[in-house]
Amino acid sequence: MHELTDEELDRYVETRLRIIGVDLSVLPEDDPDAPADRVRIFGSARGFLRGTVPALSAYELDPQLFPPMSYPAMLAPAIPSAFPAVGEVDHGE
Amino acid sequence: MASEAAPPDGPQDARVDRRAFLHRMGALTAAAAAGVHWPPEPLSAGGPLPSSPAGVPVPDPPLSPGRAAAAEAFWADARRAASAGGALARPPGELTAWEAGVRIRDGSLRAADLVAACLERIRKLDAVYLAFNTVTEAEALATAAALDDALDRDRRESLPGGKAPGLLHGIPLALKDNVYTAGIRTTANAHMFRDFLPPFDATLLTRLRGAGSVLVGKTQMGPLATTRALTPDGEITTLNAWAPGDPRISPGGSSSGSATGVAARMVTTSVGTQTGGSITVPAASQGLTGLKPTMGRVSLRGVIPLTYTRDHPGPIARDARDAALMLQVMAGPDPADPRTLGLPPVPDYLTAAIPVPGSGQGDGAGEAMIRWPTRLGVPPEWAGAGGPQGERRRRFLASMEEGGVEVVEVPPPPGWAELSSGIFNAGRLPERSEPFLPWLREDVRLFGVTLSSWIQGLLLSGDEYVKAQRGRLALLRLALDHVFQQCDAVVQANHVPFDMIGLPLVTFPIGFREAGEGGGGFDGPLPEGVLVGAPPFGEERLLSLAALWQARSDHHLRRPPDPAAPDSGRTRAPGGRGRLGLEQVADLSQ
Repeated sequence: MHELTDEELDRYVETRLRIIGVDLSVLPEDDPDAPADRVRIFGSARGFLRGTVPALSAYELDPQLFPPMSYPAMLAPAIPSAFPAVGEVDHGE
Repeated sequence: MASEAAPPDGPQDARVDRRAFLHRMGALTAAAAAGVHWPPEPLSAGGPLPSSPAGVPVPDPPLSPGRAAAAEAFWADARRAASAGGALARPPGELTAWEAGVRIRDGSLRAADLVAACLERIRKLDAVYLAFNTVTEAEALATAAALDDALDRDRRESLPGGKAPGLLHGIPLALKDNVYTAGIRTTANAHMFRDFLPPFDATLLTRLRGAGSVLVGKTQMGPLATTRALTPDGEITTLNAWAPGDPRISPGGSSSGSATGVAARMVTTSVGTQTGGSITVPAASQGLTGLKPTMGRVSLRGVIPLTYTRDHPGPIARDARDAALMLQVMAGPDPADPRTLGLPPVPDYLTAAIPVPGSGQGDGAGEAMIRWPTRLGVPPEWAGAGGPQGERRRRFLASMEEGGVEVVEVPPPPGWAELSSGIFNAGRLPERSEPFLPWLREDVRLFGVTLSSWIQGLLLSGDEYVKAQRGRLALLRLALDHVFQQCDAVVQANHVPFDMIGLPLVTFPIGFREAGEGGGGFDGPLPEGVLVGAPPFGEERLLSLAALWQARSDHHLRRPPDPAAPDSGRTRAPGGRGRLGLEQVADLSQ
């Protein structure tokens, strides 16, 4: 796969945001005095997509930190008996 | 994982099952992913303001006999310490909350005079500091007078078993401007909340008012709690009380105004919120004691949210005793915030903040000693720092050892650095962006100079978000199974790991950087704090360590000098302090 170009990433960002109804066209194109402009927002988004996203996606978590049965999922907010004594748990009386 | 063999009178962190906290955090991340319970109030873009929370009671249980005895012991020790420390001779605005509490209780100080002293300093100096968004002068004076009247009446009638004054009776309070105050603007320094008048008080404010706190104002903050205090468009507002002439010296973000208000003696106590260092960094930057409690210990109902699983409100205070007073009042279950329910009961923080005197057998008779046997973990690179900073750190550790703390070397376990890096920290961004989507759709310009990170939060896919949440749980396991197997509290180089996993942190000053020692060219002293983390519900442990150090040092007693008063006619408005751009704000984003 070729390395994604700026134009490809910009199209991806714009498309993703349009899908969910977020419009960056209201920003000025290139105005360093404005709080935000399209040039800087797209630049920041490209950096995020080239750096953080693939690094997070590729990271392999140590399976030893997730023993399948030692830490079963619980329902929120907590099972009071998990704490040392039921009588000690504060339910906000 | 739990310390089942711990004595029943030890601090709470030694008695609870830490595995339960791990489960709880797993459930919390699932809750965030599912979007349940959030936002706690209907904060809709362009829609009606949040409705009244009628029918949601805020528990305010009377002091149990044991807790009342602890409060009596606290005030007895406070009277002794206040007398020894010369509190009777200092101006009211210079007093800590506990010193002022002693004087209000003995009748030598009236709440109205204390509040007036703070308001006078705000009038005189806040055009320089810009720590406040709103000053509630009339309400504060009326509340203080009513509290004085109530105390006078109680004294006159001296009813047997009469009600003791609240722990914070008559103590001035400033709140970060993301905490709901009924009928008082709550802006979060953001365009979209510019005119927001909450219809009710946040639970934490209800509790503080119930204990006698007097609200004097709302403080400047980073827009939507994401960076140091700025206008929404990036102009620097609040200054560091130690460097009011140099806007480059950060006051710490995002609870900047809360810290500057206390450091500059414009208010006695304040509340900040921390998602990414926003209590501990401002407190450390300004020589204060800041405590980020365990996730869920303090209710977030009525706090404009940033993330469901990482927001923590807590005290920014002058010392450990003040932080203990505030946390004792703020902590507790709230039926309107599920994160606060099902936790172990709120313990006695007041006693934790009183060191025990040495017996003379193996320690110095009468010298402050640690309350409970405590192993303080220290990363080798932290203690091994060079130069004056390293000397300060080693002096701190040596003093803690003299106070009975066992200092142990605890290197970060393998994987710690990766799991607490920016890659995994980015998992907070979708949690921030999702509830703000209505405003992002309405007009992205509402986010001003903070827009970058809100857009980034929309670009992380579901699988990556889940990976980040799994990473957080793995990090929490490393903390519980490795770090806290070797120690009871641990020095941290930065706040990120403990912010991610919901464990408590405290900071307190251990020295000052002097001229020529960094600080961006600033030639005055700048406070330097230590950051210490603890296992779940380890707030007592952290307070005991801060109190021990403060009983053996005087850094927390130093106050920044007053700046020159501004020219008459100067307005309380930013300008001429510089501006942060989009990229700088993104780098500082919390």
